[in-house]
Amino acid sequence: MLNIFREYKMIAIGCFILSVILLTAVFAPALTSYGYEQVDLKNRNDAPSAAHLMGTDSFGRDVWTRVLYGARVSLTVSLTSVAVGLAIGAFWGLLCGFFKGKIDFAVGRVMDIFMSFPALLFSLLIGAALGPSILNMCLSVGIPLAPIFYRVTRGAALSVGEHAYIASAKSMGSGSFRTMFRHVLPNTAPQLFVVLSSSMGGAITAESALGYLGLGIPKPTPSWGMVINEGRQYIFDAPWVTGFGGLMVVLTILGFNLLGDGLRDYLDPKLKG
Amino acid sequence: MENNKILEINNLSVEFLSDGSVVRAVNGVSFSLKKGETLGIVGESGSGKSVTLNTILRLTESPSAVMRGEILYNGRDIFRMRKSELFKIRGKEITMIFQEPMTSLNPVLKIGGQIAETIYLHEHVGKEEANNRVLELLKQVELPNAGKRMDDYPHQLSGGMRQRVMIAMALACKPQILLADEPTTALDVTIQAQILALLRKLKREYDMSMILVTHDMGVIAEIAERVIVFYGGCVAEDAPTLELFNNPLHPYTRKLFGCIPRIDTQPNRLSVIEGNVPDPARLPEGCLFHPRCDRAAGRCRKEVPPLSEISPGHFAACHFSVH
Repeated sequence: MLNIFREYKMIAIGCFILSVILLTAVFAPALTSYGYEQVDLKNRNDAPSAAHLMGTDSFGRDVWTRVLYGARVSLTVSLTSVAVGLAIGAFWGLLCGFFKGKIDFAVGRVMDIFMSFPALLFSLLIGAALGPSILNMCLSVGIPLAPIFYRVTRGAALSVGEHAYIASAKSMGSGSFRTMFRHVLPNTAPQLFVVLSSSMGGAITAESALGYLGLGIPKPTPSWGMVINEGRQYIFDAPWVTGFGGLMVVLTILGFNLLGDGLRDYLDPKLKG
Repeated sequence: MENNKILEINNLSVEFLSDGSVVRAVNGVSFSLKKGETLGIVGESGSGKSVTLNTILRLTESPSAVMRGEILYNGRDIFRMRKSELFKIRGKEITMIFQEPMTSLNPVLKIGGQIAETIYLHEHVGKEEANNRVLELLKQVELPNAGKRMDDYPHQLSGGMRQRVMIAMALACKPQILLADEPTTALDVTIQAQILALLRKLKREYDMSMILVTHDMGVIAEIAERVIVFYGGCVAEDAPTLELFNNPLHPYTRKLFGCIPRIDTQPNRLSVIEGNVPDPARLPEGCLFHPRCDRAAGRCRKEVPPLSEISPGHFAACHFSVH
């Protein structure tokens, strides 16, 4: 494990950033003496100080506390929704890219319909239909991600399927599903990792947008999107609210991207010495 | 005599539909393979020899492929088998070695595991036994340092080593028939000779039948007992190797021999067969070879010559091959 970190700096940095964020989310109560909905009307929009590390928002709530607790929601939602999108998209993509023919055509058209909706509108649609809760949030952010995973997996599976080692696996008596999951899927991983890490950022952004439109997590549980949006109105008086909320989103996305790129390099055996 | 045939192909044709046109890759091919025999198939690129070989294991199957005829393995038609039966034959009874050793191994699996997987697919064995057999196989194909190499990924091996691994994988379940699709084409000459010698040795040890597709007459002379010459997806000539080399009957075969440099004569220039292999999407009428044949007459332009036995065991498809 240490060797991997030494050789692949990107994995090391990505893991470091993400584990710090994860740990702060898990141990949020120990890292702050305030409650995330504790209002202090005397100290509204206070600048960062020793008492309030990241300042306070327009209700006098401690931003540091809200960011810590917000990480719980934001990370859960982004990870789960990407997992939902990946599971749906990669499965159908693999199936279509491997079998081609009629099933490919049929599933492809359904995915086209999904893709023809703007992602946010689609999320809104699902969110509005299901109502606000964490699970519904994950579904409404995750399902619009599926067509992207579908496209990438299908394309990769089509090209991997042409390789001689797939014919070779078949000639050894490997059945369709075995060939698909054991020989095709692992070879599409490098392409999938790139989309995986970039869509993680998209999921956090989508979660913020939904939160802003009132279809997010039921208040008052904070999420990063909610912190950013609540600070938006006072961005000139109290830029630290939006700023620190945004910084967390940026750091998380950076962490995922570094980890994703690093893993892609690491998992590609051709690049190994 | 008849029972001797382990594989019999009758009137096989394979067509691919692409962009509205029909590509006729294989057109009514018939031949058979005797038990223990090494059969060589020669032909130019695009003559349908690889497609024929792949079709034996139904690897050409795809929504755009149309296959006709029958392929009898021990009397059972492979085309009529259910998938589950087919999967039992692939890798267990009939196995295949491919042309490009560089790409025919899965890059993300260790070679030892890849060979073991073939064993697990067909036999219920424990991990330890499978590993022992893999090691044994790798030693048999003379992979240097076999014990350590088992944990290597394909990209860590040279082309020749990978071809040895492919052969080990193909032999893992002691097949009846080994199909080799240009197994030496991508290798350099010294390795070619080693691989051919290895194939010949293993064929004897495992008591297999073998079909070897190549465009190298030298390889054929080295290893095959009988040769089939493919042209335009048809069989042009089918004869025992020695007979074919001494007495080629089909004009195409004769011209092919004219293209090979020989050590005992010194012509100034090698002869060339004028023209190209027919486009499988637009095959000529009559004999497929007539546009390039010196002896082509009116009849050749209209009638397809049947494959007929000219002398015992020697077949040719030419209107003029009688004399």
